[in-house]
Amino acid sequence: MNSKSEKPESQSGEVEFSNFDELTAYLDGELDETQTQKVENRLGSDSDYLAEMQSLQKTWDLLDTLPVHEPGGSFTKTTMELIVGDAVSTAKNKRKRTLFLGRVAVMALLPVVFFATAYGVARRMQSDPDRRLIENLSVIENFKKYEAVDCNLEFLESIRKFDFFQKPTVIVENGSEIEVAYEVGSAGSIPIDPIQRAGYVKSLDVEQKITLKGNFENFEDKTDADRKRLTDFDLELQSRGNRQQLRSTLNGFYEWLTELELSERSELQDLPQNERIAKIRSIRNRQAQNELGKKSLVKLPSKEDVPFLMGWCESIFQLKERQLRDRFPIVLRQSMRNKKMGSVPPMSVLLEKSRVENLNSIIGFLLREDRQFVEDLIFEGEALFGLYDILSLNARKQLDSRSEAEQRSHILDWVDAVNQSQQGTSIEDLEKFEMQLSSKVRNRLQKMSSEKYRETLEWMYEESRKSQISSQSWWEQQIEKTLDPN
Amino acid sequence: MSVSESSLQKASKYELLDPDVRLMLQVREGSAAAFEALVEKHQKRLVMVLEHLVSDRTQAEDLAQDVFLRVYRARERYIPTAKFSTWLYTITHNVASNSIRKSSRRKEINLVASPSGSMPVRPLDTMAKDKSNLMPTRLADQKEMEQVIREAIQSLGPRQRMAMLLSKYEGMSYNEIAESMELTTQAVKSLLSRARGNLKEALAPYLNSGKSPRDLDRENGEPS
Repeated sequence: MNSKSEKPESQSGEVEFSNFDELTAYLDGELDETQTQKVENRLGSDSDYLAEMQSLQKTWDLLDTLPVHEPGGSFTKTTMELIVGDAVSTAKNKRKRTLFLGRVAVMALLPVVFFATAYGVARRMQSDPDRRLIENLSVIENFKKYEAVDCNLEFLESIRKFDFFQKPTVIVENGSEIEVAYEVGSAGSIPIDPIQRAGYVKSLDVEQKITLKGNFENFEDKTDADRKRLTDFDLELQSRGNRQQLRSTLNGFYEWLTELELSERSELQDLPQNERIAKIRSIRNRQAQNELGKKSLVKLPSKEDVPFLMGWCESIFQLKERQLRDRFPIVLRQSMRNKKMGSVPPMSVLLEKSRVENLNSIIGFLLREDRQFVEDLIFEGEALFGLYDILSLNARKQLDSRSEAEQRSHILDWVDAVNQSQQGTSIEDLEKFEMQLSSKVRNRLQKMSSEKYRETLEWMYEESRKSQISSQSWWEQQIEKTLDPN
Repeated sequence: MSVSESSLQKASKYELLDPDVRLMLQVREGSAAAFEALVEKHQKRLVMVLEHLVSDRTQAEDLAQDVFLRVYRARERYIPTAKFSTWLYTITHNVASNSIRKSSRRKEINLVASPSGSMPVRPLDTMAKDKSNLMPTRLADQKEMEQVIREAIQSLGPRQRMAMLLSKYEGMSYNEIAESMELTTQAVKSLLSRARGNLKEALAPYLNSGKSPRDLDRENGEPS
């Protein structure tokens, strides 16, 4: 490969932005030996690349020239006073939870005494099986997931790196700051303290308790060696710094695995680790692309971006739900007037419709009828920063090559595609929709064959979502036509 | 194996690795002196990081106290599963993010000049030059340079800035930053790459010439 092809250049002649990843990681000592060697070989033969590296390093060194000021002289004293004040206030509010009060030694012992006493009482009150359940709660709740990854942390780490099984949630508050968090399953919230654990078990609903009991029995039926293997894996997982991400991956992977076709699942489990990872990647890529691709002609971001894009959209939709629902009846009324669709229902009816309507359906309608509103709403504040931060370099490039207006339009197309992909017709949706129909329409439907009934109902549902019209008489006319096309 | 045994295992693992973890475990047992030692040790860098994040010295000190207060409040639940500084900066990241969220000023700093405010990356190259023209002439060159650097840092997005500060001033690895900011290592790599690239772009005029903003103004024939 010649040096020109290794060195992509922008129009200004500078080495392209994408190379900063490699150089930054090199300067930060984060490359492995092979990657380091590769960078150093290129630094030795490519003067522009070398200059770029030196320039980045000089910039970094420049930051050292900033002076570091000492905090005010009384910082430690006021911090300690703040803490003691907080402890006193908390102790007053929660008599049983006596907190330590700085240097007051007697008070410092009280929580320990309280904990020891309560722990002892709790232990005595628990029967042996109960105690085993409490002690092994984390394993019992999760051992099926652990078995799905063969209790193999290396394997779990490998699939975590795909980012396919972590569900990113982008939290945007007040239209300004962006956070990306990863959903953590219930296992992440199991308390450490045995007393709290007992409380946690007690707080489960009946169904959850039955599931837990079943899991406990299965766990107890295992051999000592298997139980130890699962417990060791649980401990090892808990000790990992990135345990939250690993838990999130594990939950996502397990959920995904259980939804696979049995044949595909069996095939996966028979493969050696490396091949299994490649196969998972291939299946997940195909699925991710299909999730959006089948419902849209829009040029979508690359496969690895799809779950992130979906997570971002979901968060934005949730965050903006109130504004979307508020806007919907106004636009709907205007749209019905413009299209001269008979008498427009009173606002109270439209408001009720807005309250009960599926949010994706509302978004789809507003994207068609008032795209500017959706655009302004989605891009207010710094929502775009959040999206930009979680997209891959390729997707960012796809955006960077466009004007600002084109970027917004392009992202709106993505949003539209995601929204459409989430509008699958579930049985619950259909049942809910049917209940909104007049008894006359429902009677007509119920006289149909089951196949025809389902087909007609789905058609009506889709039409209703597209047009946002719920005139009973209109539906009745349409059903008449469907039943008797001639 | 019981829960308390597993806690002890984890504690002993990080106790060996990190003296600050040992101090924090003493705090958990009720030692105010250990807590004071942690405050003494970390306050300087913590305030500096927060100052870069919120652009206000007094507010940074208030937030640093808030961070220490949260550390204290969490002491009973503390289980050493990482270096102490990683945990400390996880809390710092959350505290700073909450504060920035509430600050409307931040919006002015980070959004682009365009009315729609939707461009993801601010035009940093023009920023540094523009700002340098606004410098009061009475300031010494070094002060001007510091100001330009501060503004370059502030022009980064909040996440780029946090990642950059943890890398530069806390010497954290990508893994540790990822843990503190609850991101993937790959995301941290990208954030730092963009942060470095943006800083380079903003500081390029001074970096290439080795001259202060005032000198550059003089050369361009602009009044200083």
